Amino acid sequence: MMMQHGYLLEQLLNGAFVCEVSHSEAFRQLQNEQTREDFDQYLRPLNRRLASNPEGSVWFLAWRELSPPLREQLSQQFKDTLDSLVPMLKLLQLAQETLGHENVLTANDILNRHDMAARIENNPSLREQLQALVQTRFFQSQSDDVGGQLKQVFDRLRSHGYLHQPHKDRHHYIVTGKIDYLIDLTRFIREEENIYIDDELPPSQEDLLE
Amino acid sequence: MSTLDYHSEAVKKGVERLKILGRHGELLMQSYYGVAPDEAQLGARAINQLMDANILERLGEASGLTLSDPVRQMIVHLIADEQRRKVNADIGDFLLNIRKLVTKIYDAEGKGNYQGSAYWQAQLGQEVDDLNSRIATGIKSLWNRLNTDFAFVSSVQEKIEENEKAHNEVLRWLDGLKLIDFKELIKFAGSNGGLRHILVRQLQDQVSGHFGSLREVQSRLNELMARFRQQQARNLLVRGMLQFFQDKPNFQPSDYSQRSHVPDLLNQAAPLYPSVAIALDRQHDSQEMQQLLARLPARPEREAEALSVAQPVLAQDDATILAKRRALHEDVVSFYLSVLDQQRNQYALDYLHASELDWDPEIWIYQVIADYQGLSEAEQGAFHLHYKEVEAGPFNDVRLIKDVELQLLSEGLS
Repeated sequence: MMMQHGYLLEQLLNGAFVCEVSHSEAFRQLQNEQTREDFDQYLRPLNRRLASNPEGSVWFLAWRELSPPLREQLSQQFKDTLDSLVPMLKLLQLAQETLGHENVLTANDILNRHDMAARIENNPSLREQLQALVQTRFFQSQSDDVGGQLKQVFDRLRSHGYLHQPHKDRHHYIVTGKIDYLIDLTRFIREEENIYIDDELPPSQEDLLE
Repeated sequence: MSTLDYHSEAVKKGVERLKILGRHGELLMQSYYGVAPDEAQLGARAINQLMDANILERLGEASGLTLSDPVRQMIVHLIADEQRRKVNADIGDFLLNIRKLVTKIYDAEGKGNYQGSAYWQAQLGQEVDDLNSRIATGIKSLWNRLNTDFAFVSSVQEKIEENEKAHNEVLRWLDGLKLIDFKELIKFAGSNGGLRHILVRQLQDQVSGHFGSLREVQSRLNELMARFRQQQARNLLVRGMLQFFQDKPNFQPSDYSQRSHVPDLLNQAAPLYPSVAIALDRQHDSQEMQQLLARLPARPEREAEALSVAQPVLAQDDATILAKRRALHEDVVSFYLSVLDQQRNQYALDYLHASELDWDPEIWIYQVIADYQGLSEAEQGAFHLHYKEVEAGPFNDVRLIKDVELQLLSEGLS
């Protein structure tokens, strides 16, 4: 019975985040509760089970039973994610300001790399932000020009599953549901650590320009 | 459209009749507002044209000309005030008017004044049309706002406020529609066919349609509101947390992985890469295997590149590997010394077995050859390596080294 889900299973075992954008067919299969139970049954001997973010917009595999070495692995993984958190939040801000969007990037948003490069090129403040971004360990790029730096950023985002590129030879990318996961994780940290966020934040640069 | 036959009968007829509508526009609007057309002034020819075109109709022999239903509907849509955003769902007023008109109709009929009764019925029809168009326009305006995601305001906060306003509009309409009591209307209509048609069939259909649309709008508004609130929360979260991390660059959250309950968000299993290979011993798959083999693309010459990206050996493994390699080398040196000491040729594998060393035979032979090649020219001159080879297969000329014999040359080490 699991034969038909071979591809999805392999993706999940490989550590993929399955969402509507990245794996539309597989994601649809996972909406069925019986399918999810079959998966859990199948994954039991591998000490794994299906897990999702609170809204169920992205699925991945979690450990079923935790042992000290597995906790150690999770702890290390969390540290890695934390290292990428600030660069990722900065990237979200950069993308939002570059595109002049009212909202933070969200799943299904379409990004055109060339278009973004042109906009950043023409704006010294955005150029500076990108420069700072590619100096972080997560995005590091040796390139001096905006095009090369942005290419590195996009490549990193794609390899970490945040962007889906429908056509290899074209420059548009779709934001995947993994961004939801990152936002949920950020929210979790905020709640756990009781971090206070002021509703009346200082105005962004854009507001000042208006 | 390009395939449309402009000379067809249907097109000609349509154009002709639209012209009739235009020619009698004023008269038709008067009729819509209840002024019966003056038939004498209009003339028999025009009356026939209008009736043939199903624009005007005569309900009974004695009654005057009235607008046909489709034309009335069309006028309702044409004059609907699209700009009307402030919905005044004053259905109470509407019901009051209906009650008054019904009383007038029955009064007139009681006095045998059928022309009066027809006039008031027309008024009643308009009252219903008017309510209908007000609600339809209101719903259309709500959909417009919904479908554009309230694009006429820019900030999420304003969108949330607009959504709340729209939501209140829907609630007012729904509350208003609930005031319409069809039991009462059925009683009003009694056995009067005309009234029954307007108040029961027509109005009830329309009202139930509006209920459906309003519920749909309501659920869409709720969805949109949830999305707006989520977006607002996300925007705030990203900006706020970035600010926080910038203010406190050394911030370290606690290690959630050590808790008794680890939330799913932090419990991501390590990747597992399943590997598979073709089962070469399954005879009945040989056909497929051959096809697979034939389909394999030519191997690109990128070996060198592939090597440069190979994972470096982990540091902690280095020491053990080096120690093993050194031990192997020392054992091979002992083999060479043994040949020297005993002054006779020896096979590498024989020595391996005799010394009870547990090196893999293939690795052993490889190391014997490697160490021979590592000797200085003078030292190499003291020995000769004989390769004991076999062909890999009857049709394969590759020669496999099965063993090597180390021969001590007579001159020995000079």
